[in-house]
Amino acid sequence: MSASNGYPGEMNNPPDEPLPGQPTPDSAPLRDLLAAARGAGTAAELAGAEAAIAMFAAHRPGSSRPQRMRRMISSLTASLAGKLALTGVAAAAATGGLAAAGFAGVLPASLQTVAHDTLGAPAPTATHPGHAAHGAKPTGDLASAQPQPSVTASPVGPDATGPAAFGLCTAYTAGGLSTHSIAYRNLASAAGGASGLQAYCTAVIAKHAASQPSDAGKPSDAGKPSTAGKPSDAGKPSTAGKPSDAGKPSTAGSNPSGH
Amino acid sequence: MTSFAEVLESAQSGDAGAFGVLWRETQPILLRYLRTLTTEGEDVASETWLQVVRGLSRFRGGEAAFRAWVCTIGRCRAVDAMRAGSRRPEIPVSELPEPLTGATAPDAAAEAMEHWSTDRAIQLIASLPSEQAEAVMLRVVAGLDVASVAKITGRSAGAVRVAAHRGLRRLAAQLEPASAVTL
Repeated sequence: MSASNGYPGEMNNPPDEPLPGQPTPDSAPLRDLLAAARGAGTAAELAGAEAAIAMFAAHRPGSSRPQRMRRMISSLTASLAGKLALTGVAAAAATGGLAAAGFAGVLPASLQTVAHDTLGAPAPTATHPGHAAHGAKPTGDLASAQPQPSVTASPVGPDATGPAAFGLCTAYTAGGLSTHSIAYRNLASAAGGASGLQAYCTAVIAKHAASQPSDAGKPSDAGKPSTAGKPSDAGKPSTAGKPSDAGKPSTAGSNPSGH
Repeated sequence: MTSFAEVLESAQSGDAGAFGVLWRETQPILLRYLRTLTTEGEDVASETWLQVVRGLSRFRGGEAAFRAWVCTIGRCRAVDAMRAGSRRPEIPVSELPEPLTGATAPDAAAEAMEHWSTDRAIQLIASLPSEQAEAVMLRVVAGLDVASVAKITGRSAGAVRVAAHRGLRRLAAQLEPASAVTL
């Protein structure tokens, strides 16, 4: 990866730049700035949550479980709303961090650590900032910790004609699918154009609802075992269910990502 | 408290809720980092996550290693986007999200007297020379150690230290232009 192409080297910096041996003043305004930069995720940053979950559901190991995914999406939506309500409070405190939600300590490099490493301030209790928050170190170094994903694979986003259709449509109808996202593009493509999205998703969601195994509270459905008694078949609508094709959308080698 | 290891394991076994936790914790970091590299952060992030999901079952490591891995993939995707697009952009102010103050030519020192929004803080860091912006963002926002940042950026640990140091110096100077920064 010759990623540094086009990046100016250090030697190009003005000669009056301070030398690394000199300590940076412990600036309160700088600390405030850095605290804000590490603030809790904003609504805009987390807007793609549902599409991300849908993508995960379509690509995760094992078969997709649409019922469970729907539950997860709704719970995520609820927790997201709760978090957003808290964001303002955290931001006002100016000390809230991303660690405020989910598992604690997501940002182990405390400002104290940063100050130590870059500003010359006293060190925090642990000397290895990347692992300070959790006693356990990663099992390997960065290189060994990285699976070797197919870097050359064309990113395609979730396939909107496959199992992800329901999740994408749920996200779309909930207004959670950015029109700039790949997922949206794929969904629009599956619907035969953006103008057909609403109708397409209505059909997908209706089909999904019809495919759910009936529960005990619906005796009238229970009388029709031929339709309700085969959830495994019902989960694969004939129009949407070609995951084997869906898994190889990039054979043409083109890069459909938006530029 | 749910540990990272438990969340990761659940996500690796296909639990969408656990993946949602990973995503929510990491996506803001990824997006902020990508702003130092590209104007197409949202798309690049989507591509990044697709690759993360595909490789997730093979990932081994802790929380910091996970962030480093996601940022590594994000950088690769951003580089791809840069090649496909044109060149590395100096992000035009007009394309950045509107700051809360509505100002487009921020007076950092004056603004420092007020409360920083996260978005404005990221914007100011991203306006640093690219190498410094990247080093500061990965060290401070992503919370990665020097060795990890060196691997992600393909630079030496020394170069990362220098870049982060200079970036922070420059930020401090911008925040206090009236009084010369003295040691």
